[in-house]
Amino acid sequence: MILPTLLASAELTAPVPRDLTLPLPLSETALAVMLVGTFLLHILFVNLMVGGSLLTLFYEWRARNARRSHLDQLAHAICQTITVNKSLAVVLGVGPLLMMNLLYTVWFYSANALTGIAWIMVVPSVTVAFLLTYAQKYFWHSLEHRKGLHLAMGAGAAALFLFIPLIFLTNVNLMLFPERWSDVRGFLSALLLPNVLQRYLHFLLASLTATALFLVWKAKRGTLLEEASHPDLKFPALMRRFYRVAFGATALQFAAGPLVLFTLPRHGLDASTLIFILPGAAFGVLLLGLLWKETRQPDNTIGNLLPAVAILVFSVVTFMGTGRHKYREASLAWHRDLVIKATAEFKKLSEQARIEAAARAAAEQSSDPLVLGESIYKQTCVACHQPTGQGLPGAFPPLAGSEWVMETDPSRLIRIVLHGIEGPIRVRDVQYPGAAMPGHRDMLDDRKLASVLTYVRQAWGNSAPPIAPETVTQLREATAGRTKPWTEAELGRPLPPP
Amino acid sequence: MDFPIFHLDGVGNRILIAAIAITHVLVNHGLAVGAMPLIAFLEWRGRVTGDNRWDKLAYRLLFFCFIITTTLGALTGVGIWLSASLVNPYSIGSLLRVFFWGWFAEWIVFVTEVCLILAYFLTWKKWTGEKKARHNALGWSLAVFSWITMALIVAVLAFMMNTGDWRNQPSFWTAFLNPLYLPQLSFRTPLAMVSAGLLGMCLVPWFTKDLPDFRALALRKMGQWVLAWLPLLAFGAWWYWTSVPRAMTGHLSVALTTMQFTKWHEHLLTGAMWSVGFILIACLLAWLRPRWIPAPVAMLPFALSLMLLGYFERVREFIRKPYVIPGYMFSNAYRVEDYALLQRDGVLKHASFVATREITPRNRIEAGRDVFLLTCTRCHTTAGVNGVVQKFRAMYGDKPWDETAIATYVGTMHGARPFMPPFPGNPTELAALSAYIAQLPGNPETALGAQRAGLHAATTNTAAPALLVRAQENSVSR
Repeated sequence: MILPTLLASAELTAPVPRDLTLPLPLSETALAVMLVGTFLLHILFVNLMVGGSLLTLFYEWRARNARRSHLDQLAHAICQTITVNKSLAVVLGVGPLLMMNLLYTVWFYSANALTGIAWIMVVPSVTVAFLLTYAQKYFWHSLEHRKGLHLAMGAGAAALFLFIPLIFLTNVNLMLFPERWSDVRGFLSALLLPNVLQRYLHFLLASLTATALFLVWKAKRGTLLEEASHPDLKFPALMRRFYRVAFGATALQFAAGPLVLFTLPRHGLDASTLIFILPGAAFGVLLLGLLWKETRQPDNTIGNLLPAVAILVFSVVTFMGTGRHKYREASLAWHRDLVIKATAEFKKLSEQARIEAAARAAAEQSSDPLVLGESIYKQTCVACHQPTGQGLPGAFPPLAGSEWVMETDPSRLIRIVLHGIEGPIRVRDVQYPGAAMPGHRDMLDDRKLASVLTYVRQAWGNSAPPIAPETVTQLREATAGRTKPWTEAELGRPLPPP
Repeated sequence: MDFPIFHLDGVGNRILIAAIAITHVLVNHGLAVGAMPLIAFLEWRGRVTGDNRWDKLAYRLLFFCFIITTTLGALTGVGIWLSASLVNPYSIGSLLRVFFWGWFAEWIVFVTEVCLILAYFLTWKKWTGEKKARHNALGWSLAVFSWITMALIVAVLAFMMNTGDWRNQPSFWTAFLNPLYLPQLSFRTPLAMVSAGLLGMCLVPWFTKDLPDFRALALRKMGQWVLAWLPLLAFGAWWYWTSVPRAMTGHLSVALTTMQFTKWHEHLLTGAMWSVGFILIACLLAWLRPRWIPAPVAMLPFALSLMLLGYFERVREFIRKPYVIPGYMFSNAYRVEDYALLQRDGVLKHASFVATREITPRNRIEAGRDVFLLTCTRCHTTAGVNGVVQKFRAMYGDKPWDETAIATYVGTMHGARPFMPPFPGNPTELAALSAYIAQLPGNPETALGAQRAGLHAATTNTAAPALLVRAQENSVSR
């Protein structure tokens, strides 16, 4: 009994593919822990890369537009951080990719294929974005008098950095909802599935928060830039500025987060998700309060609470990341069950079929050279020389009635089958300009080769004496050093029948 | 393959992987594995001779390599995964399950390598004076980690060429213990070193514009570097070249007598000898008469070493045919062990992402398209790169093709074309596939592949009904 493609579980239907049958290298729990851990590390640096690119562009544009040249110095300082963060973002992304491949083989690959072009465009677009980021960094001073061009490079990088996360989000979102796979026609339609854009907003706000806090930390350590005389570039002022950015972005998360939660398909939302998401949100409230408090601190104490902020951020991210994983598990549970069943069923059927086939093959073994020869002919020769032995006009010479086949001394014929023949050849008074027959010495042993030639010499009205395996053995030894196919000139024309 | 079928019907899927993978290998070998020890060596030379010009040259070389490896190099590395998981998810998925710890270790080493190159590059101008020795040590450790990333991945690559013992013992260590591992590593290592030296030779004239006296000195040093590695390269190439056929005899069907392979194998040898010879002369010249070398001539050996590497990768890919994983999975992404079932029941019956399950006289073109997508498209297109239309036109010409002849050919071609896997479906599917192929010249496909057409590929072929009639007439007349 074969499983039908469309299986219903509750009200959901989806195609049910088979998974791979090889075992996972680790338990699913261990892989899940590694996935969440490495993913959060990866996404932190992605956040810093995207946020850094956006803030650089914003301050550089403000510096030019509002004629506040000190902001150009700030933009340059932020820009310096992107190149390290972006390299770590990419290299750290390989780990979670590895875990995704293992834990969500069927779902991840299916989503990839359905958005294939956009998915592979990640490679060139990230490459270009990175090159633009380097150009932005290393031409900062030499393009001082061509700010428009320089801003355009930064804008190009920022636009790419804004677009690329959409591809990833579309993919991991599509993966969760096999019931929607049949509706998808390419990347754009997958992008427009409910929930992608909300998650994107959530991600962008997180990027701003993460980057702003990273810059607070750099300012606190005094490594963000060389402190300048302008009051806005003093470290306490910078900390306050970025605390405000973090506060604003975090406050907006309280709109974006629920928007994501309430638009997620319901079947994945269960208690196991909410017991992580809700405490995560509670830590978020505390974080918001703490950020607000920090923005009100005087110059001499601002930044002192940064370790507490970091701990709260860590808590929010860990709870939210775990909740996200729980949602993924819950939303796929129904489908995963079906996939496991389908895989087991297929494995069983495949095994039965293998046993049957082996029994059939044993019965078909024959010691009669003509029977064996015919079966080899049908496997090996028929593709070109055809079931009738007539070949194909203009391409493959005939064997039926061929003077090459029916020559009394079979050594020319055996040589051809052993090593192949190439170049022009004349058969039954017809010229075949470009023969290209491969040699079969490694595929057919002496008995098989003798049998198939015996068959060929006696089928379709051909009549020539059978060939003994020993004849093949002798010729095989005599031509052992041959590595190339023969040519007609080398072999010489077959002798006319006596 | 039980996934939605991603398929590029114009350029073909293999080009996607090949373009990304070859770019990665060129960048990785020339600009990372080979370049990092060269740069650390130049920095060391600057330290011991007290001649700051070496240091400056090393820094410029590192800047160049840093920019390229952290953009093109890193992204094509990830791109190999992305493209392989699009084109052949069953194969990469299976490899990942078996070689998980190898890939995991690779990832850790890779993260270390990136951290080291960031540190090495960004501290160059800060760690001076007393700290210079420590900085140089950073360079040497970077060189070691770059080499380890290659040594790890070569294990997996070498395994894929070897019959190995996948079915009995699919384990990580079979990769390291397979007979092609050491030959391949000892070919790739000096090739990377030589490529880096030749890259240096290309870049020296450009980097020493402000130091004309130093140019000859630097060119000579690059020549010596390459010459030092060249004997090892020759040895590695010879060892690898002689090991491949021995490992290949394990692939019963991909016999050495396969004409294509024999030719490639010979070309590799001739190509390698010419390249090594030319490189030898160029480097001797650079060593003995550095002032004679004009800038364009300095580029040529580097280009040759890249070509050699590209050719080598192509041969490596070819010799695992008809398998993608030796003895376990054919290059059409079907497992060897499932053939008995599929050849009995058909591939459509067990495919989750096709529109047709049962073949009827009315839907055989549609069904044929699905069979084509499932069984042929990992390597072939309809009329693009490696297209079936061109293959059959070469045999049958321009007059209408006979479905039966196509079916006979496709059903048995693996006997005479050992690099082709056997057709995995049943006879009804073979007939439908042949009917589909026979009508292709008159009805070119426009939107194949799940990335465009979605899961249940809709009928885009408006001429299909007319053809169906013709196909039915054909079957009646027979």
